[in-house]
Amino acid sequence: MQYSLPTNQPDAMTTNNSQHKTNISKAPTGISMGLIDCHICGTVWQGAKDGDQCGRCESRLYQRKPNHINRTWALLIASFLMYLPANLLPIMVTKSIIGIQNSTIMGGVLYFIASGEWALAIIIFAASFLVPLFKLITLTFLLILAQKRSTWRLKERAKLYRVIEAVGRWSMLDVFVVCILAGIVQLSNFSQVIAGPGVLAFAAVVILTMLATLSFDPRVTWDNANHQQDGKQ
Amino acid sequence: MQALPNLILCEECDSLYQKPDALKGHIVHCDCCGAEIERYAQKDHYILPLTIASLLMFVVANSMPIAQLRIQGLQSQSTLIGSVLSLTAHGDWLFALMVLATTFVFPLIQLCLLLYISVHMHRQDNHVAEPLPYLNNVMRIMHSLKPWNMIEVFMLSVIVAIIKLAGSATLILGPAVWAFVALTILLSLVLSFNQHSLWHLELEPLKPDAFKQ
Repeated sequence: MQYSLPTNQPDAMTTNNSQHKTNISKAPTGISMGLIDCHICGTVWQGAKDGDQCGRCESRLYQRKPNHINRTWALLIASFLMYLPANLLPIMVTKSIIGIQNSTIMGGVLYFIASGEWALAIIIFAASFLVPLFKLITLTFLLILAQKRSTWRLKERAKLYRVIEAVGRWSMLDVFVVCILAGIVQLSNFSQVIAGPGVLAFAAVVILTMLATLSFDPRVTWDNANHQQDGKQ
Repeated sequence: MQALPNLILCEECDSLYQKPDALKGHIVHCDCCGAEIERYAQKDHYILPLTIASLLMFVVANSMPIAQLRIQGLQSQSTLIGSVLSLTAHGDWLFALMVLATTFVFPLIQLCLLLYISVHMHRQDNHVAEPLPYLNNVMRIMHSLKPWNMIEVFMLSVIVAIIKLAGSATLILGPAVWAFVALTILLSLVLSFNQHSLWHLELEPLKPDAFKQ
């Protein structure tokens, strides 16, 4: 069989140092050409249906991530629910001869501000408070815009998605700190650190938002743009 | 169903492109959304030694104590596994399991698979051309584990924990701290190459006949 596809020429692609063109090019898309690419090995298939197996690496092919809107909403709502206990419950309990001391996420930040460690206070504040909140708000925002078929600032939205994809993991910082302290500070009755109930809720927020980010399909954002451009012509 | 080996789709906006010529060390971005489409490894032959170095550092990081704490004759020290075990001692099983998975089990699996792939690539450099058994499964596991390997976050946590303790007690840093720093650097180097590029290495060459179903 012969296939002739109107594709972009290689010179239309930019290498890492050159500037991106500002206008949104009307590049042919996989969905408009009836092509599906394998998300594991990147092979492009013609005539494949959703759920078919990739002939090269045997993973399932999907035009778009299956059920992405519902899945992302479910995971997002779950992480919103865990967000309050994560921030209000103590993540770490310190038992010492002075007494029992509970510390929350913000307590850790305040501790470092009080002891003058500004750099650390900022790192922990960013990783544990700003990043999860930013992720939750941004993903909700992206999801609503995708559902409304908005074509507003597509490129910036694509960038935002890449940012939340990259920074999400760093929120685990405080979770690991609690784990390390619980391991090292075991001086029987003198001083002992135990994980608090908040740490599990906090870890759940991080993992659920990471899963939500993974289940969101950024291609849907662009589908709407291409769809509307086609409609105008 | 037929494969179109000279085409490529952007993973983030579905734009269709002709596969660009492989330029070593180049990263190709999508013209439409700016996402990275292809990354061509500059130094394939460094992957095997880097993987072996990472595995050695992994062993050091997990067998040596992270830090030792001394207060008035009392002392305690811990490794990563020791910390996880002390969590289970207080019944935090779910939490312990999560830490163990993201900082120990997943990175270890990734490193072992990477060793498996890179040994094969090394053999191929020496003109032993044969398909890699289980490449499909290996690639799928590598792909799904990628977001969940959190060694670099753990390294930063070690530093934060040390600073937190340093003010209140005598703290002796263990060799594991440096091993974690080294492991983070090695892992970021070794995992930065594109997973797709492994398919370009023709571990399993594209045969047109194989794609007709």
